[in-house]
Amino acid sequence: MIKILMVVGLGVLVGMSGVVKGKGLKANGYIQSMWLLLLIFAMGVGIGNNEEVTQNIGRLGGEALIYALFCVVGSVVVVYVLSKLFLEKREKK
Amino acid sequence: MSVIIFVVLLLGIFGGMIIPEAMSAWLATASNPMLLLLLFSVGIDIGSNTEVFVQIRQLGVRVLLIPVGVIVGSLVGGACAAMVVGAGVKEGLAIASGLGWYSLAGVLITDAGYPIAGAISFLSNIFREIIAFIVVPIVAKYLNDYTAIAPGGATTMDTTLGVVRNNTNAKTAVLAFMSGSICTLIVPILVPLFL
Repeated sequence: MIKILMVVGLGVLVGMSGVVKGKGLKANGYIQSMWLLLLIFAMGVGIGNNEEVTQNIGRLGGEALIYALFCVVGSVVVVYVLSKLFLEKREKK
Repeated sequence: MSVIIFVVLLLGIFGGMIIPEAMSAWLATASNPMLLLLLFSVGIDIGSNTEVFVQIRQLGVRVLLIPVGVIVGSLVGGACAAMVVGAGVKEGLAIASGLGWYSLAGVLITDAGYPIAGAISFLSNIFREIIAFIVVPIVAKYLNDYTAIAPGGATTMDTTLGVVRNNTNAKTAVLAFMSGSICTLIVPILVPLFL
């Protein structure tokens, strides 16, 4: 967590310093999208390669998927309602 | 975007199962420094949009509504899921309390003497992260930016921050990072509460 905070903080400082601008920012956005896909691929490999996952997925995968889906739906519903009630409306004022 | 992400993820997962161990292990390890680089890039993005800090200051304490909503929604979801699969509600709450942080939640529950619930939690939190990758673009498009932060839970401070940023804006990226950090801090407190 500390590593992450440091890296993001460093990025923010670099961004604020204005060293990266115009074309550089565009390139940053482009690289970000590509990099994101590469990361997702590498994470997929990590999951496919993880024995704890492959050994249990047949037996417990169905239940785990139900939990995951319900948690995602629950979070989306609650945050959506809260955002409509307290975040979006007041912005318009 | 969702389709591309899904395909790439599937390719990765199958790749992880078939390509030689040494190479896949190397790729899995490489994902850590890759993630840090991605986060650095998102940081640059945020830093060069300094007006986002003003917008967020205007929201004030209301920024906390997002992590609170994520946590409450996950717990309600976990309790409902437990009823569906016929498990105890407390077990469901503990599983859901991982908020996507699979490496921690699984271990905490397993170490407390519930190896099966621990394994389910581990898998379900991995699934949550996978689902987040796929649904964030959809939620951002059809609901709103704030809600795009919800699926990822604790992972919006690291692995899913990039997808959130990519499908929303710098302001939402900051809110996602804050929400993910708060969720991350609360997981180790929340999981044992239900054990």
